Amino acid sequence: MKLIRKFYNYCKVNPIIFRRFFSRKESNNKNDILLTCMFIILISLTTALVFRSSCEIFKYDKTIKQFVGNEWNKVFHLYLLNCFDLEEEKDIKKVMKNKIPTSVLQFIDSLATDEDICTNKGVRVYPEIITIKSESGVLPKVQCYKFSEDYTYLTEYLTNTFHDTLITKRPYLFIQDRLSKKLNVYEDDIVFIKEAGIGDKYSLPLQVKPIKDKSRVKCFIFEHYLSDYARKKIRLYFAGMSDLFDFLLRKAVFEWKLDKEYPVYFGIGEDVFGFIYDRNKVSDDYDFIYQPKFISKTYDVTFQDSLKLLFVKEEKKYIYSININEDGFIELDKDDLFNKFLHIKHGFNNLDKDSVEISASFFVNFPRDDRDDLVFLEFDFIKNFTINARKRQVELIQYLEIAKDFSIEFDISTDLERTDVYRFFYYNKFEDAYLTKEILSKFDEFNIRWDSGRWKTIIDLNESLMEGKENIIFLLIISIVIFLLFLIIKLYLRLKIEFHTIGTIRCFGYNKKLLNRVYRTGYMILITSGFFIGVPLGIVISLLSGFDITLVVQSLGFVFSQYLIVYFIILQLLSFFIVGYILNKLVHVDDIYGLIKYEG
Amino acid sequence: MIKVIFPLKKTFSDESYICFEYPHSKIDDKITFDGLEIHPKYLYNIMGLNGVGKSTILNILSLLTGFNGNYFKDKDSIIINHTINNSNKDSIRHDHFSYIFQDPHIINMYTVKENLEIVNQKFNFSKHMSLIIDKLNSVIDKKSKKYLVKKICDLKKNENNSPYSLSGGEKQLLSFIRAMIKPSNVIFADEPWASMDQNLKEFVEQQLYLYLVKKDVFNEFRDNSPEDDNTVIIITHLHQHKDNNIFGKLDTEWSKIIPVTHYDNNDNGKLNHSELEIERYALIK
Repeated sequence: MKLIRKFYNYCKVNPIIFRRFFSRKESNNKNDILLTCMFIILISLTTALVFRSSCEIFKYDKTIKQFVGNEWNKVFHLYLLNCFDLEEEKDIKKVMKNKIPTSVLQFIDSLATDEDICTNKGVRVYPEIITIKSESGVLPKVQCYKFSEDYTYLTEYLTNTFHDTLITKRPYLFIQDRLSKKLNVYEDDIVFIKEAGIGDKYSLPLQVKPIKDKSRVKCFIFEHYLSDYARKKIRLYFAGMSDLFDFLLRKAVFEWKLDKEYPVYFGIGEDVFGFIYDRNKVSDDYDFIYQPKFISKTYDVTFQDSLKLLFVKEEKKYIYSININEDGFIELDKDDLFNKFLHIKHGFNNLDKDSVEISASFFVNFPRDDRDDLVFLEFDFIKNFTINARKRQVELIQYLEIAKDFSIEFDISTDLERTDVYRFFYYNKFEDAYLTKEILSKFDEFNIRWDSGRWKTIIDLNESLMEGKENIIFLLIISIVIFLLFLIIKLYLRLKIEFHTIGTIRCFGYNKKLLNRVYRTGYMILITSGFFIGVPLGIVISLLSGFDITLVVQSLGFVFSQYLIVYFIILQLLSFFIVGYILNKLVHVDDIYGLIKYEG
Repeated sequence: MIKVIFPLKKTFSDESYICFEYPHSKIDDKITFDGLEIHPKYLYNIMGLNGVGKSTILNILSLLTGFNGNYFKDKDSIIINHTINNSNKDSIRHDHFSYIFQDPHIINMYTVKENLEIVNQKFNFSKHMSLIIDKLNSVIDKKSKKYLVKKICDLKKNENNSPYSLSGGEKQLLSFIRAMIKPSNVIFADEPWASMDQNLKEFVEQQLYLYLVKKDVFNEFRDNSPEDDNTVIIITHLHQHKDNNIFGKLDTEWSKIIPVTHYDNNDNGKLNHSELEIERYALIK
């Protein structure tokens, strides 16, 4: 406010003098108007040209930002197998042996100096072609990248989240929106994938996550999920034993029919404790219950139409087969689970309520920070996943509706052997034109196979941008010089005419500060008028010269924040100082009477 | 209380002289005149032969022209105890001085109205010109009243026109009114009636005289402090004074003559007074 008030006070001038700055009351003042109009037109035209050039720069800048804004354009996968370094080898014949020259590796490693440039070795980093199935669609032959969890820069970008939160054992299939729509799946839905063209056995259920930003990557998973050694299971989590038994006795037995071919484990937290549905096996020998891993690998267990429950009291183990029918079924409640079980007809008659407890260790022995109240059922998919994907998915979705939570569990073999042949190369220094060109020429020299087209695109864009900037600076200089010449000539001519007026005004006590203020404010207004006429004119010129209207509108903010505002400020400052200087030199003299007499 | 004192002396050895060199003169001409005190309520006549430097002296006194030397002053003067800088000059001109030039020096790029309002922002042309006409009707004798009123009405009619269309006398009248309405204590007038006819000249003489005693028709528009007294410094020629006009009387109680002489370097440094002219002044005195 203070500044505005100061500016207002500065601009406060004698209204008569100020008015007559713009139009003299003479019989023929057309020249004044003509000169003023020419002055405004000059500023308008130069402003319009600067605007148009700014639009061009904005266009390049926008394209570069779009290009670089797509993080995928900063990622390049290098195939080094057939590269060579002629200077190192000296002999062209030696080049063909399948060995990566040390100088090539050294060069690539030497680039990885800071967080803007890094390089990772890959296992098999080239895209795998997979088939994705959902409940309502199939996408055959989708290019799927397999990223290591080490590629933090990639995953953070592609998932728009921090890497740490991704590194869970949850398996995700990151997929583009477009593909999601085709498959009719949404975030957290389950899809099944398999390598394209290999039978109809879908080996992997995955949870859908969106790829947030636009990139060339259609879909990706973390590389270890496709390992042959990974063990995959699905877990349904329940809020407690009550919910679990509710599911088992009511939903699973009656509604879900229990015609599954895969074993079911039962546990708390993350540990499988060992509950299993298999009437024949369990009734014969229940010791294996304490060795769930052993069971899972050695027994081909299946669901039956009845249920065995294990009860433990000190060293004694009681196992009961429960035949469920609709009449015997009641709702289970967490608080008196045992009492509720007594109402089930079969298997409980000879069980002393006080002498047994229902696997108490389920409840208390394996607390976890995050899921200490959750118990789970675990289904092994590894060998029994032969039914078509659609049916599986329907079932999984049914589980999700019943259970409190859901996960797909993997035993991941993480120590995958990496090789120098495949490299992921992350580069975020395109503004360093010299380095960018140097890398391009070196990679070409080494015969590295990579996507150099993208690299060249950014180099070309940067060069165009630089050229545009040089042009606009040249235009600014020319415009300023023309403005200066015009201003000085106009001011000299005008002052010569106005010596008498200024002398008379000064004779009656108006000081030079006031006159400076009038002329400076006057020129400030003329320049501002020219500027604001020039902006729409610039828009028109830009449109006429082929710029898209959306681009022109978008460029307004850029244009005003960059060259145009600088141009405006320079004009204002120049006029401020030049007007002051010329007035001081020509008008603010001791001999005021000389000025008054000038007309004569 | 306005008191402007110029303690000037003839000798060049004394630092307190006025020395003015014409910028484009080939001869080293210098003007000098006797020590001078300008007091309030006095009308000073600057007299001398043509080209002797009367206007230059007037311009120097009125701070319109620079010169080699300094303005000095005493503690009661408006110019106090230091050399006047340009800013102070502006301020003095703005607050205390007013001018009537030999040529009217009306600003042609302003309208008639603006030419008056520029010197006194409280002056409302339409309203106050009517008031002036009313006053003229009441104070001026019958003989010239009609003519004067007509002239001022002509100015009023042209209020929004450029002064281009005015005659020389009308411009001079406008210039006179401009000087009279400007808030001031000292009027510097350089042959203010040069282009005026007899009626206007008499009106101007009369009003300048009345300015000294603050009874002129323009007094109320100046809005000066009542304690400040007025002074008139005017350039006239002897032949312009007649017994029947105020300046012809040259009453020594309120009127002084400032004789201006010319120093010629080519005459071995001697002072070349225009003796004849001075004698004629003395006779009048």
